[in-house]
Amino acid sequence: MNCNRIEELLIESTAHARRSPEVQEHLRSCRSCASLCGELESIGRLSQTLGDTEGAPPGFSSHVFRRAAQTRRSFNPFSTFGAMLSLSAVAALVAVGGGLWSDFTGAARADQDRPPIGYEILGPVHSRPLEPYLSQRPLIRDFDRSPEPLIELTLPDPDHPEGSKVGRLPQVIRIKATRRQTSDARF
Amino acid sequence: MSSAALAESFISFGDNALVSAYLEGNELAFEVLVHRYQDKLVNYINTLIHDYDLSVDLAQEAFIRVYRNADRYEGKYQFSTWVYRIATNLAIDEMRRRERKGRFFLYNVMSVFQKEERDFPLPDSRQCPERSLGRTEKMEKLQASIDSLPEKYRLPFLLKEVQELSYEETSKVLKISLGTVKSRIHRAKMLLREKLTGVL
Repeated sequence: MNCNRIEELLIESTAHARRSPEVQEHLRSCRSCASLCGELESIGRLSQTLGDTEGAPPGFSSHVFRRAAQTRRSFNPFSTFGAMLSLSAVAALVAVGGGLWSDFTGAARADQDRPPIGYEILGPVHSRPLEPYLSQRPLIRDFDRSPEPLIELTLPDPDHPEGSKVGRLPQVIRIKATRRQTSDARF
Repeated sequence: MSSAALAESFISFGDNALVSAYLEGNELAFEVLVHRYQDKLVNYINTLIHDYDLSVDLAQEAFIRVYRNADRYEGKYQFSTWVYRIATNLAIDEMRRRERKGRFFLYNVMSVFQKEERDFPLPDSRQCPERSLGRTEKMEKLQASIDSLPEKYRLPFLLKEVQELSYEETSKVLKISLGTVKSRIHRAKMLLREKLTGVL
């Protein structure tokens, strides 16, 4: 077997190729292929370790089961009864008309305008004051589903004014928070 | 049979048998599937998006999709193929979302700074020290090299070499031909070998 064939076999499966007597013989006499084999074995070993990290946190499965149970109990719009209810709901919406829509959009706007304050930041702790950035309406995700919402803030970089090469990079920081207000919230 | 005894008996079941049991109304079978795959999925998604908390959320979402759509599961391919495909799609959606919004994930922003040899003005929010314990310098470099691979090489490499799926499963998860999977993994390994010269 020539080096190209050995290389193919080693890359497809180093462990498998290693067991072949022909490959073993070639590796004993070819320093280049032996080196390739060693490097591929290292990559394979390290890669397997990468996949063997901390895994799911405690409570992961119970959270899944809780959500699954909610899914099971949730309203099914495709059931016969559900379809009738859906039709009734659509009819009611049409009957109420534009006034309701106006109220709805007004409420949505009011919700957006609500100052996003009152979060105690759980971490990480930073040296810059939090309030100016919270007042810029950070994106708050999963708020209703989680007692610890994830807040995303896009930060201005004080060291690099807008327009500079570095300053143009959006800088997003994610922090977990609870809704309890605190006076010394910092990030 | 008590639920504990039933769960105990399910542990020896294959994945497809568990899906069948779940479809017949046995919720414990679904729980066994979650326990069997939860660590793998969280780790897999985390190697793609480098955000542990979000990886946990996405892995949970993957299981919820399995729960909702189990009746559509076709036993002709492995359950792992299906669940990894869902997880891959969720991770890809997240990566695309970041690209679309032009928001560099902190990890990527730091890479830019590191390339330019500048001090990064924000704290390093990559894995916390406790999580990094035991990660050798070699592993960190391998992870960085994998991250720098184009997506088309990175995904098959991670599935095959890190998650230890077979070539066939990887091909089914990514919906590409077996030959393409092999050639992409071949290319990924050669690129990694180049990037890790002097490290291995």
